[in-house]
Amino acid sequence: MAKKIINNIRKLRFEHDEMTQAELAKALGVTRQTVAAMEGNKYPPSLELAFRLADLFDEDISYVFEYVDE
Amino acid sequence: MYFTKLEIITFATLLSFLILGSLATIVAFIGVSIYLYKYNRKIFYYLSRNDSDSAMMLEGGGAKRNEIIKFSAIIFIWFLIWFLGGFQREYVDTIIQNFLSFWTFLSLLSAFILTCYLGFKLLNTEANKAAFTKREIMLAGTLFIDLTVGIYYFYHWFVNADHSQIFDGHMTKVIIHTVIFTIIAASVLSVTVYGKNSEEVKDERDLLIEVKGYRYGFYAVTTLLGLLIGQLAIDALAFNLWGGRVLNLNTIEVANMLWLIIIVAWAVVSAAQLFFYRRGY
Repeated sequence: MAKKIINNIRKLRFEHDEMTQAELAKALGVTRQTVAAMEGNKYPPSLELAFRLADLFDEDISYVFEYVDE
Repeated sequence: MYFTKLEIITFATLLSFLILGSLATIVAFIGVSIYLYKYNRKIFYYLSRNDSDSAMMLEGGGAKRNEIIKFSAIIFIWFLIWFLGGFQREYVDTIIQNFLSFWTFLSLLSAFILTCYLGFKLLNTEANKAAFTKREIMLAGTLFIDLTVGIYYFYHWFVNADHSQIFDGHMTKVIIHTVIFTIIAASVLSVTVYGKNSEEVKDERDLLIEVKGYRYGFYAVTTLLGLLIGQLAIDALAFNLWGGRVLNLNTIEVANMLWLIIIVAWAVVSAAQLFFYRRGY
């Protein structure tokens, strides 16, 4: 069965003082469009950016990104 | 929303008219025929079922309105082939001139229709409701300038220029207009979009999209160069077999075709980057 990567970025943003996409983008050093694309599962980030996200939210990377059946 | 293989093939072959009318003809006719057949079936399916948009989404194409516009555009192109083909045969003597002028006109028209359609498709889907970013506006503006300059220059080149010189009297004016338009349009675009601010910082997604755009540009260059080399080879072969060349391209014409390939490749790069930004990469 095919698999895909999903993420909990939106949920984590709201759990962190309802952080906006722009604020998250600034903290990560990327554009807001990149954050929007990641949240919409339209862009799989690089491993480095994925770890930076996990670090920022103080979560395990496997919680931020999940590899699930389609 | 995505571009199907047939859409890409058809668009590429129609663009190739701009380079080589005769060599591209067979490929283009096959592409357009498949296209026509496919959308004819879709329209038939839609009319016979008369239900929701899902009937028109057999290949993830889009809303019914898009399909009807595509279908109408293709019908219109076929009508022009029939009408102009007959008209040109009656009133112009030289067969090669007929052929070149007819395909030049047709290619310009096709490119215009399909560019309008692609713009329509990019701007009118659920996935594209978000506002354009500055980078996307710049890409769209660059694409527009590329196409405008390319179509203007090469229309005058194919139709009116003295093909034994690079700069005859007519083309000198065209080149001056082209340069002035490019400078003004690029300046206005840059000032309008960015103003006094510097360009946005690029992140990893921007770089990936940029690379992907260049990859498609590379495909365009290699394909069009292959067609040009093929045309030259066919010309040489015809010369050896029958003592007369098919198009009899001179050095200046080949130089202009190489210039056209560069312009088309840059347009492909801008269009591909814009497409991946809007579609989501």
